[in-house]
Parts: sequence; C-alpha cells; structure tokens
Amino acid sequence: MIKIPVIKISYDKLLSRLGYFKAKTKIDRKMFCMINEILNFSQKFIIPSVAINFENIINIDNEIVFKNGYKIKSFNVSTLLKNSFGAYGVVVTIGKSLERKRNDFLINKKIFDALILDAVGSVATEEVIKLVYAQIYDCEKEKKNILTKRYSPGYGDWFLEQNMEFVNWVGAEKIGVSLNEHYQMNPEKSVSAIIGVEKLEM
Amino acid sequence: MICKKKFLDILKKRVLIMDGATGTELQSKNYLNGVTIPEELNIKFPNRISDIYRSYINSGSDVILSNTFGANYIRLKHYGLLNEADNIVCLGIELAKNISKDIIVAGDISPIGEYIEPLGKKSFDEVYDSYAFQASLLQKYGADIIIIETMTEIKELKAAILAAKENFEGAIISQMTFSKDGISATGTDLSSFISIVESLEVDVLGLNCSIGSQDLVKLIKFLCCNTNLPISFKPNAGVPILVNHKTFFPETKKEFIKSSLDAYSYGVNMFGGCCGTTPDFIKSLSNELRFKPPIKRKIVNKCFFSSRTKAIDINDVKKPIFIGERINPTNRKQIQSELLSGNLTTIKNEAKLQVKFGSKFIDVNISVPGVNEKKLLVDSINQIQEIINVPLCIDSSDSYAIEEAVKNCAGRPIINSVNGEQKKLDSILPIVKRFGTGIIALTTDDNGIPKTAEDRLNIAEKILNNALKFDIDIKNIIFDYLVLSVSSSQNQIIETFKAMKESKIRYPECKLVLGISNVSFGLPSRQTINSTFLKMAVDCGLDFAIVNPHEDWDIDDKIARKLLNDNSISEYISNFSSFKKPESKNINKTNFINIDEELYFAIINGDQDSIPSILDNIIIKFGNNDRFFKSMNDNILNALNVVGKKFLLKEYFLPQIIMSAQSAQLAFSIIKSFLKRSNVVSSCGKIIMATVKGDMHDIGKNIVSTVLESYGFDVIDMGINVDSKSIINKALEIKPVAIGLSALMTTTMQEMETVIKLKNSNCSYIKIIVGGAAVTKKFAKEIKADAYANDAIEAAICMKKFIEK
Repeated sequence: MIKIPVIKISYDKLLSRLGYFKAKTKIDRKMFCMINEILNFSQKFIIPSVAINFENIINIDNEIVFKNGYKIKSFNVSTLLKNSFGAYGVVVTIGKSLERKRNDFLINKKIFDALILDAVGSVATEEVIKLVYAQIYDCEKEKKNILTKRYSPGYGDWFLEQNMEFVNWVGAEKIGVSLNEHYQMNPEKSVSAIIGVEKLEM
Repeated sequence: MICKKKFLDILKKRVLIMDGATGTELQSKNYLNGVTIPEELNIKFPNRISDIYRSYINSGSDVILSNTFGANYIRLKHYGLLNEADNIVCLGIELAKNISKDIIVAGDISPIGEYIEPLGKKSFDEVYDSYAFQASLLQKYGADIIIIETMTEIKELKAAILAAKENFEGAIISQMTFSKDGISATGTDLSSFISIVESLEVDVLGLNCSIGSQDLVKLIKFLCCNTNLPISFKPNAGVPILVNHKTFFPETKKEFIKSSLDAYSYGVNMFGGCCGTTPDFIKSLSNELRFKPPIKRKIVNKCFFSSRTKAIDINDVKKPIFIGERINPTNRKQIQSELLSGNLTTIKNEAKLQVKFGSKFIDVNISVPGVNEKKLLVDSINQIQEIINVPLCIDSSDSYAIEEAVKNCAGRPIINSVNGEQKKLDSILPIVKRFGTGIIALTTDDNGIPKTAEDRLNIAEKILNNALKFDIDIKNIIFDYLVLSVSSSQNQIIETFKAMKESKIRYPECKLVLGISNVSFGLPSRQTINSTFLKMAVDCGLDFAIVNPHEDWDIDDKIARKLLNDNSISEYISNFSSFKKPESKNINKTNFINIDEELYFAIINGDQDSIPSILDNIIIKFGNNDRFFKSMNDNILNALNVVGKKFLLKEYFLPQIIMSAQSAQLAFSIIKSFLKRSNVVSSCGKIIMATVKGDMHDIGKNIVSTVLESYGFDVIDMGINVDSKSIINKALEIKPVAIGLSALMTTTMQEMETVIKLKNSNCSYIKIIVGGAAVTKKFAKEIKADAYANDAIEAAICMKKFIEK
C-alpha cells in the first residue's frame, strides 16, 4: 500500500526545474551555496498527503463511465484508458506551508528565495506523485496488471473544468485539497491524475 | 490531582498504559457530526466523549488523555469557542474522572497549527501565552499530568513545555512526531529533541503519531540509549492513506503488540496508541504489559547542546571543542557598518565558514553602539540557526537581549557570559534556569581580574553557590579562568593553568573554556603562541576553546612553550620578530579594478551586497555629477544586456537573472535617491503588472517585475486576481508605457482578451504585453495583444522597444 516517506529534493532536479542546462549554464560556488541553503530550509515545509480512489470502468466510448456512475468526458482520456478495466484517481499535495512561506518572501521582496522555494515545491509535488505511481505500479504488478501513464485534468480535451468533479470523486477534500471557481487547486502545489489499470497480456 | 512525585514513583514501580486514538475513533463512530472541532464535543455531546473514554478505561488504560487536544487560546479563538474554554477543559477532565476515580487524567496539549517565526508568523510569546492559557485551565480543573503530544516544531515544543512548567504543578510528558528516518517535519533529529526536553526538565519524553509502531520502535530504541528520563511510546497503526474516501491504517494489532513488547524490552515506561488504534489494540496491550515493572536501562552520561537539526554530546566529543569567535564586530568596520543597516550577510557567511572549518559552536556577538541589540540579536539568531546545524553561543552583556535571543533559539545554546558581579548573577542566572541553557562563567567580579588562581576559584565558588540557589544543575556551568597576554602578564598563564587543574578536582562536573587568542596579544607570530597555548591548556583540562577556526591549530612550538612556562620572552622575540602572518585558510582576494568595472561586474555576478559600498565610493569620489551618473546608468544597462544575452545562450538561468536584476535594482534605487536630491529624476517609464482575474499565481509576475525594475522602469504591481476594469482605470490614472498581464491557467487567460478590448475602447495608445505558463504566441496574436513574452528577459526587451518607438 502507499507509503510516503520524507521527500528529499535532489539539488540536480531543482536546478533542472530552474532552467539549468548542464552543458551550458555556469554556476559559481556562491550561487550553489545560496540555492542549497534555501533547499535545506525548504524541506521543513514539505508535508505530503495522498488521496487515491479506484473504480472499475463499465464503458468507454467518447466518455468513460465508471461503475459508481462517475463519468469523464474526454476523447484523450478514453484513448488512454481504452484497454483498462479500471482506473485510479490520485490527488497529491505537499500542503500549504511552503506556499505561505514563498508568499512571505514575495511580500518582503525576497524574489530569489521565493523563486527557489517555489521551484522546490513544484519538484516535491512531482516527486510525490511519481512515488505514488511507482507504488501503485508495484501493487498492480503483483496482480499481473500494468498501468497506463498518468494523465491530468487540463491537458488535451480533458478540460480543467472537469477537475472539480474529478477531485471530488477521489475524495481529495479529506487531505485538504479544493478548487476555486476558476479550477485552481488549493494548495497550489497539488496534482491530480488518472491512471488506468490493464490486464498484462502474457 | 496526583502530585508529580507520586506519579514518578508509580513509573518507577510499573509501566503505565495510556489510551489509544481519539480522533479516528470519533470519525469511525460518526461522532464528529454537529461540531466544528472535536473539543466542542465536551460541551455539546459529552456522552460521545464519555463513550470513547469508557471504551479505553474498560480496555485497561491507566491514563486517559482528556479531549483538550486543540483547546489552546489561538485555536479556540479561531473557532469562536474562547468563551467556552473553561467548560471545554473542565468537562474534558471531569467526564473521565466520573467514569473511574483511579484513572490518571492527562491534560492533552498539541500544536497550535502555525509555526513560530521565522518559519511562520507567530511570535514565541504569542504561542507561549496560548499554551499558558491552556495549561492554567488544566491546572484549575484538576488534570493529573500534562501530555504535550504530536509536536513537530522544536520552538513550539519549547514554548509549550515552558508554559506547562510555569502554569501547572503536575508531571509533564513531552512527545514529538518524527518520520521514520528520525527527523521531524522541520528538520529536528532525535538528539536535538532530547537536548531540549532534558534541559527544560520535563518528567517523561516520548514519541507519538506519524508512523506505525514498527518504524517508531526503532526510534524509541535510540531514545532509550540516550536519555535517563522515563520514556513514552504511542505509535499509529501505520501511516494513514485515503482509499476510496476512507482513511485506512494498514498495521495489524499483532504487529502493534509485537512492537510494543520490543519497546518494553528497551526500557520504555508508558505505552499507548495513536491514530488508527482502537480499544481492541489497547486491551491486548494491557493484557501483555499492565502492572509490569519497567526494564531498567543503563544509565547514560550525556550532555547535549543543540541546533534546530543536530545535537552535540559534549561528553562524547574530542577536546577541545571549538567555539567559532568570528561573529564579532570588534575592530571590524565592514561588519559594524553592515550591522548598523541590519545587513546580516557577512555574519551569516562567517557562521557557515566557521562550521566548515571545524567549529562545533558559533559565538554570536553583534554589539555595536547605535543598534537595537535586542532586535538585531534575535534577527541574527533566527537567520543564522536556519543555515547551520551547530549550537549557538549567545554573546552579549545585555540581559534583555540575551533572554529574547535564547527564547528564539531553536536549539539549546550556551550563554556567554556571567561573572562574579552579583547584579550580573541576578540577571543572567534566572535566564539560564528558565531556558535550560549552558553558561560561560568568567572568574572576574566588580574588583576586576583576580591575580591568583585561588582568588579566581573563590569567584567560581560564588558563581556556583548562586547557581545552586537558582537550582541550576552545575554541569551546565563552564568556567573561564581567564587568559591574559603573556607579553604583559607573564605569571598569569601559570595562575590560569593552576586554577583550571584545581577546578577539575573541586568541580569535576563543570567544564572549562578559554578565549585563546588573548594570550598572544602584542607578540609576533601570534598563531604559534595561540596554538601552543591551546595544547597546554588541553593538558590542564580545557574542554572548550573560543578561537578563529580558520587558523592553524596544529602548531606546538618549543620556544613558545618556554615563553608560556617560564617567561623567556626575549628568546621568543629574537626567534619570531621577523615572522610574517601566514594567510588564513579562507582567502577571498578580489583583484583591484576601477569603480566603473566594479559596478559592471557586480551586476553581472549578482553581487548585491557589494553595490552599496561601490556606489558609496563613487559618490565620495565624484560627488554630484549628473554626467557621471548617466554613465553609471549606462553601465548598469550594459551589464543587464550582457546578463540577458547570457540567459538567451543558457549560460545563465533564472536564479542568476534574479540576482543580477536585484543588484541592478538596488544600484538604480541608490542612484535615483541621489539624483532626486539634485532634482534630476530618471525613469524609463511606468509599467502596470497584474495577474488577471481568477488567477492567484504570483511568482512569475514578480520575477518579471523585478527584471523590469532593474531596467529602470517604475513598476506598479496590482497583484493577483485583478479585474479588467481596475487595470484600465489604473492605466487611465497613471498613463503607463505598457501593461503586463500574466495568467497561468487556460481557464483564466481568456480574461486577457477582456482587458485588451477594454483598453482599446479607453486608452488604445497603451501597449499590452502578455505572458504566463498557459499563454502562447499564437494566443497572444489571436487576442490582439501588442506583444508576447516567454520570459522576463523577453519582457524587458519588449518594453525597451516600446519606449524607443
């Protein structure tokens, strides 16, 4: 089952998120130390939570219909799940603490610190969902199933407006994730995704 | 109410069984319907709480935690229940006592929900007061003990413990929450936790929540090997996950009992369960362990000092322990001027470098005439302790500044210092006692520096007696028997060593410290004397040395020894008079370049800290010369152009752009304020920046604003979620060069078109540039924006083109 350990952010992934190009970008010692300082500081603010929901699919056409009646209207998602018998809905978040601290930095015009902290938050959120995916993968592999790639609302024709219903379906309010009227996730550093489960063809 | 002594006597005789989870039990029975917070159940649905209590009492719990988990001032006020505080706490306790008179009722205290600054916005005093409010109610309504639980942040824990100690008479149990690698959410390790709770003299320490018993028992083993205090163990039934709308705890009762039995074998004294555990878990636990005597643990002799994240056991580390002395403004003009403007850059760098070069403690002295020492010391402590992982030594003669600084320490520090003056003893020792710090005790008094070892030892005795009056454990006292320069006070070295040796015999628990570099004042090759003296002092029992860690501490010179032993100063001088000081380990030379180039390179390198001094030099050298300042302006813009090019070539990435932009911004603001005084104002024009209606994203817009300001534009930032009418009204008011709009989502970027349409009908001469993660060049063209920018540099280039046209 899903276990979320302490999320340690690698310096290299953070650099990559900030636009660093290994072959081209030059960083001096001072910049290295400054980024590392904020990276170490930011670990305190990463508090991951996960909500998952699994449901069997009863029909895939132009829309996917789940057993409990929930529907997703998206050709792209239908294509993704065309061979799936069921799907996981996943919502992850790293909580509000980091973005609160980032906003404090912005108010105090510490743009550099805010930039690094924001990037850490984005990397951390991505790490959490990757971890969840990997654990679901292992779990399903034991049952001789495989997973599709994950797909999030807001991409392709799975319009962001459908994210509200999706996160409700997952039950994300219980981990403190909600959406505003413009479908922006709160906390900001949250990700929702669907992952299809297929039988492994021998 | 059970008194502290009686409770501790019980613990000596047998282990105690606490209850299991309250929160998850309330959830599973749907008992939370009709209340805002669980504590409200005490007044609205007391039967539900009684049911939970009863289920655990019937399962064999000796200790019930009252339903007052969040009944602190801040939380109750937030939920509009402050006027019910007394009833909530009273009933929380009474409902348990009504079920069984034999039960020990623990007043439950838990986190406020917000961090203390600098991690959060609450001050230490606000949090202390909130807990004091709760603790005094628990005292009033007869809680037997207090359990502070589920704490994740060490400063908050400190506030809670102090509030409990100072408002409650019974025993205090202090529990913290860790992940399975033994680190709390805010970076504190187990040793640092022990350091704080032992120094604040809690009665029991322990771990609860967050992880399952199988992982928590590994951490509890560490506690059992590193403290002599009784220990409590209250794990979850595994890490909770939300599956199909239900919270699921994966650990079985069998696994939970096995871990609890392992914990018992390590010497744990109190057992219970946290989230996910049920009365059934507690019943099995009680069947196994209730009334059993505790397993005696091996006595350990640890003395921890700590930072937020790590601790040092000074009984278990090679001597001498270096206390880095470099954060001291004495004779250091740059640090003095920085401190006067509140700039902590150099002292933060000094802190990091000293740790890198072997300092196990960092002495922090920011005493400069003209500064608000209390505020600056607290700011320094708050910033330094977040970037290093060694304990601090708080160095000040202002007891108010010391008290505030110690309060804000996330770890356990040493106070530097007290001496034999009664006034000093009376002001400093209460702080030492209250906060459980170490104290450096100088063996001087109102009469100055004593000449003989015996006189210094007499002062030491006076300090000790005063410390005992305040009930301070004498192992927290670190004596300094004083170092005088061998050149002017040659016999004094002998007296110092004599006093140290005698001190180790009379007061073996008290450690010794010396400020080493005083010994060589006025002599050549100071490091030779300093290092040799240090080695001699260690032989006399020295534990701590206040030093510059960058210097060479491996030297042990025969001639220097002779000097220190029998005053052969002429031999020393004749051997070392032509000696040149070796360069210290950390050299940071800057090549001499002219002022123009200095400014140019400072912008390119993002060296914000050097900008004020470079511009000061320019102003001193060139005075009020408008043509010269135009040339400075051009220099800055040239530097920014280079930075922009480096960004496009990927040689620079975003953090470097920000650093350069902020350096340029600072330079411009200094130049501007100088020019304003000479009635010449320079600006490239105004720009309005806004994130459109419905979008809450801030950071991209702020980065662009920073870069635009660095190019000399006046940026009016209207913030986030700004409707189109407000943007256009502002534009009509201030007539900007351009409006910059940001949107990060496909659902909000449509608003940009609304702004453009409104602009076209009201002030079509103003340009609009759009950008943001969701926005594309194609979209910008479709909505007829004047320009599109993919990043901050492109935005600056666009704006420059607008003003050139």
